[in-house]
Amino acid sequence: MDLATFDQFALSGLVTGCVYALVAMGFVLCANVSGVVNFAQGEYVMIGGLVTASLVGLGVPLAAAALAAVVLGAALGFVQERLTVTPIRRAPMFVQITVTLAAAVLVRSVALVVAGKDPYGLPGFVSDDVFEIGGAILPYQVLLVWGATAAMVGGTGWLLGRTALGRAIRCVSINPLAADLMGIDSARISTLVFTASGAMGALAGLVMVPVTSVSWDSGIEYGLKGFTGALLGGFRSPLRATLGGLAIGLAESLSAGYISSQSKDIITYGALLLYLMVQGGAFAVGRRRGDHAEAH
Amino acid sequence: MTGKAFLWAAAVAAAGLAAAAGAPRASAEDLVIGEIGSLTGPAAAFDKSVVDGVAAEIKDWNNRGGFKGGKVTIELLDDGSNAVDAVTVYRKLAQDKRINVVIGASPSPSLLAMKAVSDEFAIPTIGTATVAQLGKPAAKYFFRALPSTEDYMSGLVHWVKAHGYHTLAILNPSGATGQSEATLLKKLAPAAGLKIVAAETYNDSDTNFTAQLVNIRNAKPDFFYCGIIGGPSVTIFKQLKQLRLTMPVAIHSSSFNPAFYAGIGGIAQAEGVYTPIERGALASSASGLTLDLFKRASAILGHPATNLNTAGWDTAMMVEHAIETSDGTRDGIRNAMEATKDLPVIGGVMSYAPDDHGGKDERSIGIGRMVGGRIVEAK
Amino acid sequence: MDGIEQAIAARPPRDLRWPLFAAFLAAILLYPIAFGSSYALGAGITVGLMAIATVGFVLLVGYAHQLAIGQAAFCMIGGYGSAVLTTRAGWDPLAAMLVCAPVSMIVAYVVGRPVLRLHGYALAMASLALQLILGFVVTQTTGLTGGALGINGVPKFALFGHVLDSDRAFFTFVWLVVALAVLIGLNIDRSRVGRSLKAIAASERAASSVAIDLPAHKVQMFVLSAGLASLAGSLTVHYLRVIEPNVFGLQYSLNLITAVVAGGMYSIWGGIMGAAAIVFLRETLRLASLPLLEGVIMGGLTMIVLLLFPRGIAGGIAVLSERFLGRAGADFAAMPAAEGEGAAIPPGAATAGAEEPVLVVEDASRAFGSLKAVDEVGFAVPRGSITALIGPNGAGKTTLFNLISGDQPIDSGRVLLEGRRIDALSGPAVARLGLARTFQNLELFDNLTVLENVMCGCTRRTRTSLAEVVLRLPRIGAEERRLAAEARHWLAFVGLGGSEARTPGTLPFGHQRLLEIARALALRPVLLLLDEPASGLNDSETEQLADLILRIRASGITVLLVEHDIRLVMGLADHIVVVDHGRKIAEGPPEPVRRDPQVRAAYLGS
Repeated sequence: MDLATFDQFALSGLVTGCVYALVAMGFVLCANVSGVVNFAQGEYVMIGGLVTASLVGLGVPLAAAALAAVVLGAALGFVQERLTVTPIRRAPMFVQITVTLAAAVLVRSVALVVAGKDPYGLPGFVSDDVFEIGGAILPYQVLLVWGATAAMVGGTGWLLGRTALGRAIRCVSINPLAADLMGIDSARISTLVFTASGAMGALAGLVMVPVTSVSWDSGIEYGLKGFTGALLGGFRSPLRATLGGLAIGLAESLSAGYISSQSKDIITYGALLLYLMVQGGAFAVGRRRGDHAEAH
Repeated sequence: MTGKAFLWAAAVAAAGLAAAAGAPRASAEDLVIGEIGSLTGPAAAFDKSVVDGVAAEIKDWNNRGGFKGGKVTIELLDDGSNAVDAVTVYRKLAQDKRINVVIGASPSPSLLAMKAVSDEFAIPTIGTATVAQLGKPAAKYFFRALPSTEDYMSGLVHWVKAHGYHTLAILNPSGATGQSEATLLKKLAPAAGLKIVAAETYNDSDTNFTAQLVNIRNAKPDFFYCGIIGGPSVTIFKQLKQLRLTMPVAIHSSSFNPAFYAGIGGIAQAEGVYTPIERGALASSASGLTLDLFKRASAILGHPATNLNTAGWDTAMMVEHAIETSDGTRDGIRNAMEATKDLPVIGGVMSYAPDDHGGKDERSIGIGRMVGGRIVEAK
Repeated sequence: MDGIEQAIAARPPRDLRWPLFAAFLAAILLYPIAFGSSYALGAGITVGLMAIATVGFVLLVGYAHQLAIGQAAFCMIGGYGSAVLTTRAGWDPLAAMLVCAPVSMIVAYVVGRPVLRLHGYALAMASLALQLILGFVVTQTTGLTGGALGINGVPKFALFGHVLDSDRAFFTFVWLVVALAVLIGLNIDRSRVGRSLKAIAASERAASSVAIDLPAHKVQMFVLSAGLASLAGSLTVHYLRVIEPNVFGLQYSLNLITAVVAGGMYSIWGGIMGAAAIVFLRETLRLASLPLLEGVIMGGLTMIVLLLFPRGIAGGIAVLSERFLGRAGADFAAMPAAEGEGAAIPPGAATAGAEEPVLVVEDASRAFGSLKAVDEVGFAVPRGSITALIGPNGAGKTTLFNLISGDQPIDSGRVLLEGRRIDALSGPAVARLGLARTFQNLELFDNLTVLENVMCGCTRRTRTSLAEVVLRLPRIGAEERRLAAEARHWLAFVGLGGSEARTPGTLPFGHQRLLEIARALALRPVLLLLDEPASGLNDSETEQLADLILRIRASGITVLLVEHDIRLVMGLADHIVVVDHGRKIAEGPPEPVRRDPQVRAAYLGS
C-alpha cells in the first residue's frame, strides 16, 4: 500500500471523525450533567446543516444562515432539555431512553416535512478548490471542519478546566446532589450544557455540508457513530469521547479502503456490540446513575 | 391525571376518525386508478419523480377529455418503502370496487411482494421498477412497465465495449437496484470482453466515500460506471471530481435530475457524463410522437422530464391504453394489457406477451451524454 | 415524575384477568364471522402479527424495564429463517417457525446475558447494533437471502401439511398465537417472576437484598420477548409471502416501541392495544394522504404518552374500569392459608458450630479520596448474639455497614460469613448465603402488596423453572400457596397479621419498618443486618422493636444492628462494637464498653 493512499483514507476519515467526535463529546457532557443519555444528539448536527443549506438556498447570506442554524440548534437543545430531560430525570432509565429517542424521531420527521427528502448541498465556504497534503487530496472546506472542531473541543476543555463555570459543570457531573448542596444550580447547569451542545452540534453540521451534503435522516448515522465513539472513550471524559469519535471515523475509512466497503459498518457496529458484550465495565455514568434512577 | 389519559386516547381516536372521514374522496362517476408509491422511507427520494410522472400523464389524459368525458383521478397510497405496507395497501386498493387497475410506483422489493399476491387479488397491476423477475416468469395480473435492469446494463456494457474500452470499475449502492446492477455487470461485462478492475459499494446512510473512490482511481479503469441513485449521489459526485477521477464516467440515469444539478453546483459540473437511459428521454434524438409526448410531459411538470418522470408517464400511458381499448373491467384491462404490442411511449415501445410481462426492452436503451446542459445520444 | 411512580404503584385489578381472557378468546373466534370482508380480516391479521411481538415486548419494556431499540432484529431472524428454510430447503412452515424461535432466543441470551449486567442504555444500543448488523448481513449474503431484493414466493402458512389458505383461517391461527403470548404474559405477571420484576422496578437495592437475581430476570424477559418477536417475524413472512431487508428495518423497531408505549407498557393487554393503535393510526394517515406526518405523530405520540400518561391506553382503561367497577382486591388476600403449613416454618438456618462467629470482619478499610472512612477495622459477631455497631455521627459506621452488606466495595481486608468470604460477592449472592438486611430509609416494593413484599423474601427457596412458570404447571400453584403461607407466618411474627392485602405506602411508618424486617426474615437468614431500625420510631414503637429483636434472636437468627439510640443498644445488645473516626475504639459486653474512657470521650466530645 502506498503512503498517499493511506494518507487519503486516514485524513478523510478524520474529517467525518470530527463530527463523530463532537457528537460524542455532546453525548458525554449531557449525560454527565443530566444523567440522561440524549439520543437526539445526532439530530442537532442534521438541523445545523439542513437549516443553513436551505436558508442559503432561499437566498439568505451564508453568515446569517449559519447564525440562524446555530441559534436554532441551541434553542433545540434548550427546549429538549426543558421538555424531555428535566421532567424525566428521576424516571427509570428505559423511560429516559425512550423519550429522547422519540424526541429524535420527532425532530427528524419535522425536518422531513419541512425540508423534504432531497439532500441539500452547499459550495465550500471559502473555495470549492482542493489542496494536496502527503499525496491526499482534500477540499479546502475540511480545514474549516478541523478548525471548528479544534476550537470547540479546545474551548470546551478550557472552559471545563480553567473556569468557575467549568468547575461547576464538573461538580454537577460527579454528584448533582452534592453540587446542589454547595449552592450550584444543577438544573441550570444542565440546561446550559444542553443548549451549548445543541449549538456545537449545529455548527459541526453546517461546516460539514459542503463536504458531505445533508438530508433529513443524516442525524441517525452521526448519532450512532458518535455514541459508539463516546462509548469507546469510556463515556466519562468529554476529551476521551472526542478521541473515540475520531477513532471511529478513522477506522471506518481505513476498513472501507483496505478491507471492503461492504464490511465497514459491520465492523463498526460489530465492535460496538462486542465492546458492550465483553467489556462493559466502562459504564461509569450509566452504572452510577442507573443505580440512582432505578432504585428510586 | 390518569383520568385524562383515557380522554386523551379518545381524543386521538376521534381525531383519527375525523381525519379518515375528511379524506378527499373521488366522486362516484370518476374513473379511479389505484397507485402505490413510496412517499416516505428510503425509496421516497427516488419514487416521488415517478409518481409525478404518473400524475402528469393523468393530467394530460384529463386535458384531452378524460375517460369517456369523465375525470380520471388517482387514489395514491404510500407504502413507506416497505413490502409489508405495500401488500397492505395493495390489498386495500384491490378491495375498492371503484378501482380496476393499480400502478405500483414502488421499489423492487415492494413490487415483488405485490407480484407474489397479485393472483389472489386478481387486479391488473403494472409496476415501474426494473427488476427482471417482475415480468418473467409472468404472473397473470402483474406487469412490468420499464426495461429490465438487465436491458440497461447490457446496453451499457455493449456500448462501452464498442467504444474501445477494456476495463471497467463499478460503484453501486447496497439497495435493491444497486445490488442487481452490480450482479448483472459482473456477469455481463466479462461475457462482453470487459474486465472489471474494481467493484465497490456504499450504503445510503454513508457520509464518506473517499475510500471507495480512491480504490477505483488506483485501479485505473478505462471506464467507470458510478451507479449513484438518490441519497448521497451529490456527495459522491462531488468527491469523484475532487479526487480527480478523470476517466469517462457514466452514472445512473435517475441521478440526472434538477436537485442533483443544484447539489453539484450546476448542470455544467455534469458536462460529459454518460448514462444508460431510455432513448425517449434523449430529447435531442427524439422525433415525431415521442418528442411531442416529451414536450407535453415537460410542460405539465414545469421542467424537462427526467428519466424517472417519463417512467411514470409511460406506465400511466400503458394504463390509459389498456382502459381505452377494453371494457374497463379488471379482466378486460388485464387482457388488453397483455395483448399490447409496440405501444409507442416516450421511452420507446411497450409490448407484452402471455409468457413475458416485461414492457419495454433493450431496444429502448441508449447511452446519453450531458452536453451543454442537455442529455444527447452519445456518439 | 409522579406519573411514572403512579404507574408503577398502580396495578391492574387481578380478578378481572381471566374473564377478560375468556372474552378475548371469544372475540378471536367471532371476529372472522362478524367481519367477513377481506379488508377487516387483513387489518386484523396485520394487528395480530404485530401484537405477537408487542406482547413480548411489554414483558421486556414494562416488566423488566429494559428497552431494546432493535427488537425487530428477532423478527428478522424469524422472518428470514422461515423464508430461507421453506423456499430454499423445502421445510414445513410450522417446523421452520418452531426452529427459528429458539435460535432467536439463543441469540438474545448470548447478547443479553453479558449486556444486561450493565445498566440502562447498554441493551438499547446492543440490540440496535445487532439489528443493523443483521440488516447488513442479509443484504450482503445475496446467495442465501436474495440480498436487497429479498426472497419471493414464500409459501402460505401450513399446519401439519394443511395449508391455511383463507384469510379467515390464518386470522384465527395468528390470534391464537397472540392468545398464547398473552397467556404467557399473564402467567408471568402473577408468578414469582412477575413479582420479582416488579420488585426490581421498585427498588433494585432491595430486590438484591432478598436474593433476587436482577440480570437473570432481565435476561429471561429479553429471551422470551425475542422468541415471540421471532414467531411474529415468521408468521408475517408467510402472510406477505416475501421478505426483504426493509421489512423489519429500524422503522419497524420504532413502531414496536411506539406501540408498547401508547398501548400501555405496564399491562400485557397494552401490547395488543398498542399494535391496534399503530395499525389504525397508520391506516388513517394513509387514508388522509398524510403519510409524511407519520414520523411526527409517532415520535410526538411516544413522547407525550411517556411524559403525561405513562400507562398508555391500557392504563386509561384500567382507571376507568376501577372508577366504575371498583378496585378489585389481590387474589392472595382471598387465598386461604394452608392448614398447618404456617406453623411448620423452621427457625433460621443457624445450625453450624455454635462456637464459630457468624460474621468476621478482618482489617476492613475503605477510603474516599484522602479520607479514610473505615480504617483497618476488625471485629466478630458471635453466633446467637445481638451485636450492635455504634459510634458518633460520621464515625464510619454506615460505611462499615455498607462494606458488610456489599453496597460498597472494600479497599482491603476481608468479610467472612460463616467462614466464607463475601466481600467480593454480588448482593444477591450474599443474600443467598444467608445475610438479610433492612434499609435506613426504607426500601419497600410499593407496587406490590404487603404479603407479596414478604413473598419476595421467600423467592430464593423456589424450585420451579421459568418454563413451569410460563406454562403455569400445577407445581406452581402449590409453590405459590406455600410461599404465601410462609409470608403470612412472618407477617404474624412481626405483628402485621391482617395487613396482607394493603400496599406498603398505606401503612404507618413504624409498620413499614416491621414489614421490612418481615421481608428480611423471610429469607431465613443466619444473620440479620438492621440499619438504624429505631430511627423515626416513637417510644412505644421502639419498645415493640426491641421486643421483636429479642424474639428474632430467640428464633436462632443472629442480629447485627447499627444504631444511634444508645439506650436501645445498651438494653438490647450483648456485644457492642464502637467505632470513631473510622477506627474501632472498643469492643465487648455493654457494661465495660459503657465505662470505656475512650468511648465516653468520643461521645461526649462529639
